Amino acid sequence: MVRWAALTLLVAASLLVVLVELDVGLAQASERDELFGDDLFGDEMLVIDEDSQADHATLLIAPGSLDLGGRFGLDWEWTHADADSLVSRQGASAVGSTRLYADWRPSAATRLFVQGDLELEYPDDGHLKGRLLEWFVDWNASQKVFFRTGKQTVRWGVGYFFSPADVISVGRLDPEEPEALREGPIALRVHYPQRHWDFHLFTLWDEADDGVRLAVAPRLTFVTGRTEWGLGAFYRPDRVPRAMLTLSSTIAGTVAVFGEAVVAAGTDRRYAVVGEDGRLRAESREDLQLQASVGFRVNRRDPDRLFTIGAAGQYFYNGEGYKDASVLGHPAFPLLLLSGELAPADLSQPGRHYGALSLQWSELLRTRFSATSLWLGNLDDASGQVTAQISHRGWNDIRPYAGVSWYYGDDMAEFGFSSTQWVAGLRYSVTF
Amino acid sequence: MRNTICLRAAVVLGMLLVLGGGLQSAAGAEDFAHIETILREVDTRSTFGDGDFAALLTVITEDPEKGVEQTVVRQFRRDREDQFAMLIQEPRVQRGQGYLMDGENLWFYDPSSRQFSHTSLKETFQDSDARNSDFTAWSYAEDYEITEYTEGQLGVNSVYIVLLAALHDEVTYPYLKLWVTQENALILKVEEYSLTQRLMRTALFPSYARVGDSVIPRQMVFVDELAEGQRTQIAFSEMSVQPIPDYVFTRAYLEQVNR
Repeated sequence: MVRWAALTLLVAASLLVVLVELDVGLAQASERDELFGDDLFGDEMLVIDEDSQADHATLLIAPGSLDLGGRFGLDWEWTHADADSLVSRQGASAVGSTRLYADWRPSAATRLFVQGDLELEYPDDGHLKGRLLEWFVDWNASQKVFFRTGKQTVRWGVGYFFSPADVISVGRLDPEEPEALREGPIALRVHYPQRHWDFHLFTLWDEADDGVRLAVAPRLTFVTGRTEWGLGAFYRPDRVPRAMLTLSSTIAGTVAVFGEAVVAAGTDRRYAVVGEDGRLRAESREDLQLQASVGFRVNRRDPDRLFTIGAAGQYFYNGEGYKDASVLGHPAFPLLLLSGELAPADLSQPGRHYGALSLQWSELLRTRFSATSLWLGNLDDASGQVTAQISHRGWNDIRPYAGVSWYYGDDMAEFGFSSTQWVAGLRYSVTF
Repeated sequence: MRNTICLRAAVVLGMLLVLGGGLQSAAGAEDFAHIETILREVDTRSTFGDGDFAALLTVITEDPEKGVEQTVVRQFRRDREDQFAMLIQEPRVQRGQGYLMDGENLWFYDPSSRQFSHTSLKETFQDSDARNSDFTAWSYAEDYEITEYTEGQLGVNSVYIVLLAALHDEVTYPYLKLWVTQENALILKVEEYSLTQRLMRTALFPSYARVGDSVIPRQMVFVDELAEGQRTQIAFSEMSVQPIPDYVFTRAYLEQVNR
């Protein structure tokens, strides 16, 4: 019943959006004819006096406004993977998803915001899944100090594929979807902005089995020339303290570059080690740990628009990884996981050196096709994945796409256990 | 004897040519000074010296492939501090995106990931034919040198047609050709060329507004000369020189007004 109600809601929303878009399109076509007349300079130039009294700044934060919106998407996908693949979904599937938000401003200084996702998948269990992404209240003191309290997305670092400096987000940065909204913590954020610097102070709540854990994380960002620097720290009594440095800048005004470095007094991970007696056991590290990363992003378009290219690359030194990850292949290793001495999170990014590179070629040779590719690799165990996808601009918000993901490396390597996977599908997406 | 006469005639002719050329150069330099004065006037009038400026911009992009797209932007400028903020109001899919420029730094804010990222004035604005630099004050006299000019006509307007070459590589286009009205020093048309002198874009400014002490285009049309049928029109409305609070030029404001 709930399923049908959700589907009806989704279909009604999409119909409404199509009608609104049709109306806007006709209005725009009429406006275009008026605007792009050929005889632009037929009359003598007149300078018209204008002086609107509009208060643009406060108009945008007018009290009493309520904004509801979101986006709706439907994906039909066919997946094929080799028989020994660990890919959970094979064959045809369909996923309907909706992101909804409500933004209410009871006064000019106060704002309430809620955002969440609904998802329905076939042939999965067919249950409607819900997820609250953000709920927070904003207020400020005379537009000088800004407060946000509640569950909120936080961008703490500057990395694109990897962000070791971002120790406060709940959701992990997924290199395959680096621009996706990540789940944030429940926190009180105090923001004091100045022209050339910003100060943020986060107080974070984390509910554990034995009660609420508090953490504090201050951060100062400042600008020198064309470079923005960030200095931050993170402290929670039951975690190792961390200090971090970030920078972002541009080279020749066209290439964006960024870097992060994090120093931790130990690590929250536990590691599998082979003792002197030859037995495998789990232990912690308390020595100084360093993580660092550098990367770039660039967008270029040739004069003829045949090559509209976007590229991003990043190297990540993960000091918290294994110097020799061959221990993960020890016959007794699964026992450490089963006994709970190691948690699955302890196995995340086990290597010390990682790289990622993405290339995006939009409107290939001025056609309606676009191509994207991503390489993601563990440089220690020489494993990785290469993903390539081609998509068509489509018709009426429906986009066909097809792609392949190829994994390489030894069976025991980080990416080596997966095998080639093919996908093809149709994606319908609309914002309302 | 004949040789001597010929030699003298050649010397006299040479001197005349040199003198004539010198006179022409002197006249040219004088005229360049006149055009330079006009360009300085254009730059000064496009700047909101000690005041602030805010407006609502309607950007209509016409693309034979993608059709017509409309973007509505609220712009805030504080030229004396080299600052601007732009907030996208429409379409809904981009609502809440914003740009914040402070001196040499330009950030783009994306509410869907809640991230600020460094970008460049040379980048195109929202995939249109406009560049981010089109939303700042003009600085033709500072960024370019005059290489040549003639007088001409554009529509019913008598104009100077001025060729400019960039003095540094910070500008978006290294060569420009300007049509400036002789009567009131308004730029009506600009052709923008690449390093190889290829025409890349034509900008048209068919109407102007006087806002406070400044004179700025009310309407701008950018024609992509490499993609047939592709052009962008920007119309300004609700132009105001009311003081803008300092907090508008902060990241906090961009976050505050987004969805």
